Amino acid sequence: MGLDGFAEMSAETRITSFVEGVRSRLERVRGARVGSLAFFTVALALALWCLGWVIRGYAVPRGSYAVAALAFALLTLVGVLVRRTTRDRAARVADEHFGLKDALVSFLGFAREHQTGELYQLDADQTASRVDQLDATAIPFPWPKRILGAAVVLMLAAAVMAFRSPSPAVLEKLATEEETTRKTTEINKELEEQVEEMLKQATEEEKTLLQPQEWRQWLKELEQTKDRKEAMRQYAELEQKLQEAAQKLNPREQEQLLAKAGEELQQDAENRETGRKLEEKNYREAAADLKKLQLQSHPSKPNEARKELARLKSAAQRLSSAARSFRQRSGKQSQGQGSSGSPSLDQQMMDLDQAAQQYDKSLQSQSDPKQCQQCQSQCNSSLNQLCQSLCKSACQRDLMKKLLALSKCAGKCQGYLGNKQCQSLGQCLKPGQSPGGKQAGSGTVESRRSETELTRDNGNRDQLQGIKGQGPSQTTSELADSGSGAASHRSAISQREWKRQVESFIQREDVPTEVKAGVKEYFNGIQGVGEQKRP
Amino acid sequence: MDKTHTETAMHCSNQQSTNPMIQPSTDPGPPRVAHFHETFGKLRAEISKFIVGQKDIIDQVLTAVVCGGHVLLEGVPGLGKTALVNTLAKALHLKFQRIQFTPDLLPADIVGTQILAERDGRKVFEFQPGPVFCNVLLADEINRATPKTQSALLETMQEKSVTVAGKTHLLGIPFFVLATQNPIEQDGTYPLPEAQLDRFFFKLFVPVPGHADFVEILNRTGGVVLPEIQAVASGDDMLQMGTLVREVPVEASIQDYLVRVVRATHPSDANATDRVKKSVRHGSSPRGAQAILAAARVQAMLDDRYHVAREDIVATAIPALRHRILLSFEGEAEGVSTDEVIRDVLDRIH
Repeated sequence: MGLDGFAEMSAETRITSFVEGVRSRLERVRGARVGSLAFFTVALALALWCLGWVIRGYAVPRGSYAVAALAFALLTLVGVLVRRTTRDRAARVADEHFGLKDALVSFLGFAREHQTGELYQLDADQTASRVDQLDATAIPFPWPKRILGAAVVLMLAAAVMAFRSPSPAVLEKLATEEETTRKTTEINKELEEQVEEMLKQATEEEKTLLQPQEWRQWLKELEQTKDRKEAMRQYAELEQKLQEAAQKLNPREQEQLLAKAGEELQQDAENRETGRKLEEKNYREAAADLKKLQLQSHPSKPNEARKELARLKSAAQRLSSAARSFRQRSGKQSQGQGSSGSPSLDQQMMDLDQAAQQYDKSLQSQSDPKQCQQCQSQCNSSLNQLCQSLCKSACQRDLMKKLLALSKCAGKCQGYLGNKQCQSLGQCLKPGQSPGGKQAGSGTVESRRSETELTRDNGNRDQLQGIKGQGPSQTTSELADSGSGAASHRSAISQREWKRQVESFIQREDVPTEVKAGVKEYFNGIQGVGEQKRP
Repeated sequence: MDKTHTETAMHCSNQQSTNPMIQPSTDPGPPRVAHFHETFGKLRAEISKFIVGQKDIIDQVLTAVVCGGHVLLEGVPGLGKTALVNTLAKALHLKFQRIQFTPDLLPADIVGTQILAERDGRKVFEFQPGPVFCNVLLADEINRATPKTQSALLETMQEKSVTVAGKTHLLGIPFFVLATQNPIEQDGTYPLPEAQLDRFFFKLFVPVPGHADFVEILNRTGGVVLPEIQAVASGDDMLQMGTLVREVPVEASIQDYLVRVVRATHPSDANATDRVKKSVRHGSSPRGAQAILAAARVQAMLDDRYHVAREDIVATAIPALRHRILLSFEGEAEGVSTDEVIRDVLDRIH
């Protein structure tokens, strides 16, 4: 622009233009400072961040540098945009630097207030002529060298640390974490499938005892984690929860009662099998056996009815006796109803006995057929109720076993976590076999006695020895096809049976200790008699 | 020793712009501005013929005169205070009167009195104007007169008129009082009360001249021929200059700065320094701010500017405020001067 053109520009334009030049110069200076500070801050943070990783033995994550670059850009942008240099500040700085004695500040103030007048114009012209001689770039542009130098040093240090590989211990730890993550995913999936399978295959009876929401919630709480301890903790927790749930289903008192009932029934030849099943906790089969005792003959046929009743009554009496001794032992006077509102098992047994006795009385007294029918129905009803309770107990036991199996599975899962030799979960759940297999095996927590031979010892704790020289011989004698044999196999059996009964007697908990001692003493005594008789 | 902020400002504003980055303007500006510079320059030069050195004092006295204010000069005897006023009066071609204040001086000796005169065969009371009826009044050793006599003068300074026997007589325009005080020989004196000190535009301390100035004084006054002072300006010139300086604009932030400075002389103000809080009982009144603003405008014009700058305020704050600040007992006991207090404030307020 030529001089004429320049002069034509108003004083205001010239001054404003100069102030804008100063402002942009100051903005650049401020930007350089802000950028340097941001660079230093980010470099310091990055260096400390990298140092933290290196000290712990890890490699610095590559993403840190990208984050640092982004942070630097963001900080610089925010720093530049916030508290930008205003025109007034630019004017103040220019006045101070160029020694204009508030000329620019005054001009801007007068312009803002739209002041007019001779002296205002003179002032504007004078200020404009002064700024025409000035150059905004004369304002110094000081680079913050120290800050930049420190930032460069820190950044170099951070860059050097980027090339450091993780220590062997950390590599191993990372591998373990990766392995743990994979395994927990696998285990969680496996447990979920097992629980869903269990829920799907549950019988109608079992479904009434199931708590699917609660179990699903337990599985939901299982997390995929890389921390082995945390993983083992959560599976240990699950195992405990499953065990507790199994324990809640464990009808200990009922089992004791049924075991007692089994013992009682075994004393009766007709009901021995049922009693054995009860003792062996085959409640369903025992219930099926008991159901066969249902009274079907019409009271109008009293002989048949009495026969049927006799079988039932025998069983009922044994059961009732077992219930009474159970009550006595457990200190329950009359339990009445169970927790669910229905009569308890011991009450059901006693009710059955009472119903049988009632029916027997009505048959004997030849009372009204309707009444007899009613009594018969009552007997059958009591019997059915008892059988249902037995089935329910069986169901509880089955479910308990499943839960315990699942709990065991959870326990094995903990082992899988720590076992590096196991390649897959299936291999760990079925050790010793070839890899594979989807489902965990199920076992029983109890040991089952093998069926006893009538002629052999039944494995009781207390063994009583009879008269020496008597008792079963090493050689067995068999019944001859015809004629009278030299020895009776039957007598040996009877003898063994009697021995077993007495041994059972002294093992019973309801028998006082002094009585047991007396019986043992007696047998010890008769053992000596045998010795004296031998030459 | 580094110059303080205030001294630097005074130094800068009393010089023409010597900024190497800016070429000084050769344009004299409009006629009124040219008249101002010319008149001021002539007065300064003429007074300097007789008064050696004291350049700052001469400029400050002229500043006060241009603004229509009165000046209180304080200094030991023989420093040329009276000579300065005399010379100023001659240079301005204004009527000059001198009153030597003594303890027996009466108010009537200042303002005038009624006398019995014979006119056309009749005896009438005529008003005999006192020495105050002039343009430039030198009130020498004002603190020697009684408070009653002092108040008569000071009332005249404020009202620019005299009322005697119920009749008001206006004084001439312009009317300036330049009073002097002797800081030694305090016995038998009546220090001016603060309310009356406030009427003075400036209070100036006339310093003892330096060696070179001493020599020059002897050279000028010890010879046969004394410098002759010519009238180079008139009262109208002073009035014109006064009108012009009132038009010099001041930007809002600069004015705000001035107000903050004056308010900071009050111990209750938030910006008051610790020294103010400790040593000052009362700060300056708004009259002090008015004096500073008027003087700052003159400073701006002298600096060839058409706006008031912070430097102008800093340069004029001490003479305008030093007699308007009342020190506390603690301040007086510790020997704190009001000049130190004002410098503290100026250093603190930006």
